[in-house]
Amino acid sequence: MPVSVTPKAARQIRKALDQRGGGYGLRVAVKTSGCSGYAYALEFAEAPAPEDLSFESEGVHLLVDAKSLPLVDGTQLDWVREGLNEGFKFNNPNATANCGCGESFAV
Amino acid sequence: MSACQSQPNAGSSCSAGAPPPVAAFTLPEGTTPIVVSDAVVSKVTEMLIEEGDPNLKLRIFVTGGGCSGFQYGFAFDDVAKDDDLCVEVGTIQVLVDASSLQYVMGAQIDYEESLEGSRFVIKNPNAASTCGCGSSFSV
Repeated sequence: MPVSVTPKAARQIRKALDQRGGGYGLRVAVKTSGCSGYAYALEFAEAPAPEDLSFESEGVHLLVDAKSLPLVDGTQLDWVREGLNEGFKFNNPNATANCGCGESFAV
Repeated sequence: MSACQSQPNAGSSCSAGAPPPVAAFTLPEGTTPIVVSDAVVSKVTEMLIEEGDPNLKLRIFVTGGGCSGFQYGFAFDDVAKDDDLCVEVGTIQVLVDASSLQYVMGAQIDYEESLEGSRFVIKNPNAASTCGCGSSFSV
């Protein structure tokens, strides 16, 4: 699957959707910024947009726009606790370098 | 264990030019080495209940690494060392060791929750540049 989530990430996405009162799923996008060239952007989605590709993993809907897809193809989204912080972690096979916190990457 | 109170400035050469940020609390000598937000206090209080140990202190430290040269670290510690700055805010205690303090003097410690995750963050007047997420910085 082009984009997938771990069970932990799925649980977190469901929790976040519940807290905001529902929604279709999570959009995973890539923007040019950050110290490594690209940065991930996550947002709630009410419905797929025309340019979106929709995937289902662990029972949650993931949307990726066609332009971002080549940069995140094969990515697995995980939810990890690192020290006292917790957050989504992108395991992206296309990334050749990552920023310290994993928010930014290079291909 | 050292008493938890404000200590004489351990990094005087680094703090001389740092303007004191808006004080969330007042230290006896009029110095404000670090400012701890209410969000940090409530999150740490919640975490200590989860940990089942009300005596744990939040330790903030700086290590080499990250894309900008230095990065922040956060951990719980049950012991304050002699060279620690110890700041008591509400019900929690925050520790910064002397060598880390020179890099975070005057910084504001906050806790942010968003879709991406939940994390402790530092707004640091000493940082010349920071990494996208703010976990790494240069001076």
